[in-house]
Amino acid sequence: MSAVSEDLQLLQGLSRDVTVGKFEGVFQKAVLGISVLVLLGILVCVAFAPWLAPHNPNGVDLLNPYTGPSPGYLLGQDSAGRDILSRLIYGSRLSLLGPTIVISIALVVGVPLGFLAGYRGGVLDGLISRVFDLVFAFPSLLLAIVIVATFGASFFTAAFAVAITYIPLMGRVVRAAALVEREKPYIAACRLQGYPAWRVFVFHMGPNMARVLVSQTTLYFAYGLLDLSALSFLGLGAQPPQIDWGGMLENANQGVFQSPTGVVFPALAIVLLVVSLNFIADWILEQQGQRGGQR
Amino acid sequence: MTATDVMTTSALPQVTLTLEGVTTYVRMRKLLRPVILDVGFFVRPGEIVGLVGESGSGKSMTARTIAGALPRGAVAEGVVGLGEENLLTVSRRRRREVQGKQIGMIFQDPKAYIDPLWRVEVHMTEGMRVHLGLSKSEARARAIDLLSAVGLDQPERRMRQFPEELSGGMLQRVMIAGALSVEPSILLADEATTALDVTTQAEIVSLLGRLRAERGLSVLFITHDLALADQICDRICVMYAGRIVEVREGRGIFEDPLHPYTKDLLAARPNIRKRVARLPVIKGTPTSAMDAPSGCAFHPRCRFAVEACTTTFPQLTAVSGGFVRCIRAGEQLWSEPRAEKGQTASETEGNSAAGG
Amino acid sequence: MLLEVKHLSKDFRLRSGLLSRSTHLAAVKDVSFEVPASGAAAIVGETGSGKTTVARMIVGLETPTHGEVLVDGTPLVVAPGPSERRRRARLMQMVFQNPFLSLDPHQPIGEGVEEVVSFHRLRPPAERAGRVEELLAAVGLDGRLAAKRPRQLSGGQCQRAAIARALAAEPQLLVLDEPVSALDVSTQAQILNLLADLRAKLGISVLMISHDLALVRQVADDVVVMYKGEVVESGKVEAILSSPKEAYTRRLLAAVPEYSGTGRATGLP
Repeated sequence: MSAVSEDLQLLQGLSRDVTVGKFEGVFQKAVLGISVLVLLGILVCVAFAPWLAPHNPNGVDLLNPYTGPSPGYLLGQDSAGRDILSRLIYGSRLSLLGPTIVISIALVVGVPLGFLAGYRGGVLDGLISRVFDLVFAFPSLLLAIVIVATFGASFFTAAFAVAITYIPLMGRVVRAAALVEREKPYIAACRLQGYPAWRVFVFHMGPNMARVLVSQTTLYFAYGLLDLSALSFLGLGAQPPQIDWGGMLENANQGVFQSPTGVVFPALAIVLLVVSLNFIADWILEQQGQRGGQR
Repeated sequence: MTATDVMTTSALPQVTLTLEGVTTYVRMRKLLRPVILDVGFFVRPGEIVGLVGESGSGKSMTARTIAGALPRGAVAEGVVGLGEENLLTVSRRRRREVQGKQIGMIFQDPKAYIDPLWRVEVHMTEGMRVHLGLSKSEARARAIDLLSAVGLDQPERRMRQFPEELSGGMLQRVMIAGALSVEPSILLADEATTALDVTTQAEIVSLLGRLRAERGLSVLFITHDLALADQICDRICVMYAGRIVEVREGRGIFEDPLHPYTKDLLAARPNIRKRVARLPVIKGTPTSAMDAPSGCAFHPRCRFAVEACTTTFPQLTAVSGGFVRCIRAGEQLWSEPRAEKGQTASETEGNSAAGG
Repeated sequence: MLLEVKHLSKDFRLRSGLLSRSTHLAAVKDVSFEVPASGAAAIVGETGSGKTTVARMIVGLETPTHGEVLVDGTPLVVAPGPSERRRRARLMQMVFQNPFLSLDPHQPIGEGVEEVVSFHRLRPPAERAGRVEELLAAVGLDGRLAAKRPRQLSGGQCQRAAIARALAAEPQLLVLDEPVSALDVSTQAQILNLLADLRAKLGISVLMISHDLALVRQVADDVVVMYKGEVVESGKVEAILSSPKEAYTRRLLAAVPEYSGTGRATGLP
């Protein structure tokens, strides 16, 4: 058992170098690079919107509804003649703030619940898992719509509603990871010392789950964006004069044939961000914890 | 003249497997690093040859080189002779044919290598149908014969069972039967008994001995357990840092070990017959081929190392009943048994951070 | 008598199928034995013998179905909560089989040892670093390795670090579950010598779980042979190994590949 396990470890160490990971090739590296650029570009829009946007995003021009691209209006104008490009840039703010709220709530509530369920097991796990199952039983978007309909449509209501549907998602991931880690001897060693659950999580299990958590959070950010955009598209999210990409889609829907850019560009922004986040999440998961690891 | 040349010229009728000057490199961060160096030995029909070593010794890599199961990017040089062909130079297609049919392999963990999805019958008959072209019923009949040949009771019942229903020992027998079903020239057993209980281990080992006697099966028996190899092997090759350091016929290794590493390895093992005040330790940790120092790979840990050991790469020197890779092989390095040398203090490994 | 195990039993209830008709697995049946202070005992058995379950019940990782465990004459609480575990950590510690999995992959080994010292408040903050160095030296690890993570160390070094962490709680009993079976022969010898040194220096008791009879011979004074959850034979190591009474014990001995350190072949009757 001894020599083989070390031989295998050596081999595994070698194989890690040799196996072509998803991001080893030039093409794959380029894709990752583009993803990071997209993310950075959008962050730049969020930070520097007032300086980047050519026009006031809420400046109406009622004489030119649903106009295509023209010299002053690079991406055209929407139903009220507002500059689509400026709205796109300003819209990045709420479009990113929303998912941020979603994952923040999902993390703060979901992670401790999931950890306790996985680590403690037993009755506590039963209880928490059943609550999660209850939420899962409803199609998430439908549940969000119900919540928003009850409390009135607004950006924050939509964000909270979606957040609630993501709590069990995050919790389930953490629970699964906790179940795996719990069986490992180093956790048994912690229990033997008498470390309380919070210490086990903060100092031991948590750091070892970090990579999975970060990757999962990135993914959920992307899906949260999709869900929130859907709500906005239905008019249940950010209300005018607040701008987000989903709302822009709702507005552009009517005039899609006259000014397709109104639909194309917000959709493109959403898609690009979601896809980029997916690649980045994959890449994070693939990292082998290089810090302090060399064999 | 290599060791194998010397051995083969002494009128051997036929050799099942022969390795000559085999060196394998694996690719690490774009560089090729060696894992085994100048490995050479042979296996005659009906012989069981042991390949013994600790971690980093390269014994598993040797098996993988023979079987052609190297990680991507790895390169193997030298001669792996099976029958008339050098497996390292034939076409990939021919290689696959040969590997499937001529070389049988059994591994440490049968559960990991037998597909749990299918019944034992499928595992047993698949090879025969692909490589021997047997029909389903022919393969089935042979499989049942093989299962009883390897000592499984109620073979028909076993055929219908799933792997999870069988114990480790039984599964290992199934793996052996499966490996034998295509009538290979040689069986590579890579730590095949390590994960088994002592009593089951003894049974499997005697099974291999029986198969050798009844069918003339050749086996390359890879293990870290010298005592286990002693039970069953006609010849033992000891590996260290990717090199063969000692090869001896019969019980030569135990009666009269000649390489300092072999000697120390034998002494370091707790003896069931008696307890010692302190176990003699070999200072340091085993190293792999790529981390080995220049000269003799063992010299940093060797009690008998001299200046020349740090610069000269020792060749295999002929001794009675085998070969030793040590420049001081001819000298009488020790005359008394090891017992009183067992007072070495517990050594710190502290200085080698990633000693391997 | 430091450790007394009395009529320990463990029944696992397994659920099979949707209708959850549970079947029982009697993993451990009525096991009793003792370990004296500063003594060395071993539990020997093959897979399924229940030896690991017994060890886990002793340290409190499993709850016994019946029976009790006494330390210094006081019975241990059956299902320990964190405060009881904290107290028990000062009495006994466990070393596990897989050296790499026994350590937090993310934590430098020195930190792991220090965490134990500070958690149990065994030294004032100023003295903690020194204590960590002391502990690492006691297991034969250079202080410079304290900053390394398990991935950067060899199996033997990791196992030493695990022992250091166990010793940091200053226990009276060390329970070791196959502590060297995942290590090379040359490293095994080093760890076994280390255990002998620690016993001599610290007066600590050792309970080793193993399938390897030669190891048991080297390390233990008393041995308990288990088979399918029951004690088959127990007593002094010398006595049992030279004249085994039970058929199973004899079978176990006969199956051990045998050779002696001087190269002479010896066989068992």
